[in-house]
Amino acid sequence: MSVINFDFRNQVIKHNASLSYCYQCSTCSGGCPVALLTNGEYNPRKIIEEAILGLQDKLIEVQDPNPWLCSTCQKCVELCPQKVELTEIFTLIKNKCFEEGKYPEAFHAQGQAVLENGIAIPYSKAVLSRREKLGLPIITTAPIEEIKTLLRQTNFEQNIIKREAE
Amino acid sequence: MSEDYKWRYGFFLGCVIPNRYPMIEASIRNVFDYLGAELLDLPGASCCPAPGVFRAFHIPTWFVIAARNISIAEELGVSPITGCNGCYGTLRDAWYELEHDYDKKKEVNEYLAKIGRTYKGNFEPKHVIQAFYLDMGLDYLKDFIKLKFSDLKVAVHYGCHIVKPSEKRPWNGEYEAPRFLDEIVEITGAKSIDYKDKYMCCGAGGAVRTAVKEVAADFTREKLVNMRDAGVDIIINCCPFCHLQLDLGQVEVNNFYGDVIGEPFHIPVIYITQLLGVAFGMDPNLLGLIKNHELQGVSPFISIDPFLNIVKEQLI
Repeated sequence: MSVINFDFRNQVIKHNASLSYCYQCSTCSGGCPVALLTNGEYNPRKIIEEAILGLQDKLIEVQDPNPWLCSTCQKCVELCPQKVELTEIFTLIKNKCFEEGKYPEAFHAQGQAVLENGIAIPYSKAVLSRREKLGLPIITTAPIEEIKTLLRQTNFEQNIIKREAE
Repeated sequence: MSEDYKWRYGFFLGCVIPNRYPMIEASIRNVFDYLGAELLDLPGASCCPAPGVFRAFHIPTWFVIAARNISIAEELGVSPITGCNGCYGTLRDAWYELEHDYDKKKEVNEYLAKIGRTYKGNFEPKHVIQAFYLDMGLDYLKDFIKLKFSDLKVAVHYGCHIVKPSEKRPWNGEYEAPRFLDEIVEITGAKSIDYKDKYMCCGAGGAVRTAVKEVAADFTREKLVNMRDAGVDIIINCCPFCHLQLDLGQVEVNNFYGDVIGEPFHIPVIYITQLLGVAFGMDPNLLGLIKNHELQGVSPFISIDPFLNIVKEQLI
């Protein structure tokens, strides 16, 4: 059984007030390409409904529907007659999942790569040799201490390390 | 600015272009130079960071890293320019949102002060396509066309972040059926062919490719089926992540959906500056259009030979 958590709902509304404009017409789900291809298993309207009700356990623990399926294509945002900023609300829900360490494994690797190298995809020998053949300049990577200082300030480093320890 | 250049930008490379499709980087650099636009390097630039993966981690961190990248271009007195819809989404959204939220901008600058940087917001982040269409204009580009295709059918794929969210983009609110990329394609003599759900996402975005690869491949299958039904010769796009999804993803679709798609797909995927470059009469090698590619597991994954043959038959 789901528990209604008004605090959670209020946190979402505080971040993005447009949540409260939703009247559940389902235009978002009708236009969503992921909803179409997953036969409704992914359902943006339902995520918004759960956020309005403050169903934190459904959204963060159970993740039903799975927010990581949103392709951030923003079609729903364009279509919404109430101008609900759905993509931003889904992103905030994913932020909350991240704080709880409940996010896909592959994301972790990319987060770590940025923390360690400043870029999401480490260079491979084959690509470096291809770059050379194309006459492209040698890439100077970002000064990692600068990036790390920022990631520490915003607690990002701490959160990504938390997952590692688990 | 050197006298020979009419425009100057800070070239924001991102991760996918230099690291997965360096041929796209070569074509952008050489085509811009040819058109009289200087691309300055942005020393110390990092991952944009990605609008799907990184913004999903922590929105405030995403803002501060994006603002740091923009500030590097600001120091050089230029707009950052990117050939990637994902980087464009991040840099442009962050810039737009910070310009409309004083408190957020203040907070970002408090973080940046720790590393001795400042974000001002006085240079608008741009996309390569935006430079072509809005800064240079179609008439300017047309003057450089030396060779025209007589029969090349193109599936134009825009991707998402280049047009959406429309209020943060420079296309006058157009998002349902934009034409700007089709118009650029058609100055080369190629014909942009309509196909079903042309404006649909490639499937990779929002890190769906990272989270659930099967769903991403299903998107791509849908797009490829529609493109093939329309009888296209090649795909043209303006985003390396879409490019990856339509190129490597084509191999994945052939593997995952072999029993439902019939014939395997083999549609060459070409980046817009590669197409423009050949019509400008530039050497295909300068555009990263490499015929012989001996490296296993390195892009492009779908052979571009059919495109090179068309170039040979129609342009040379």
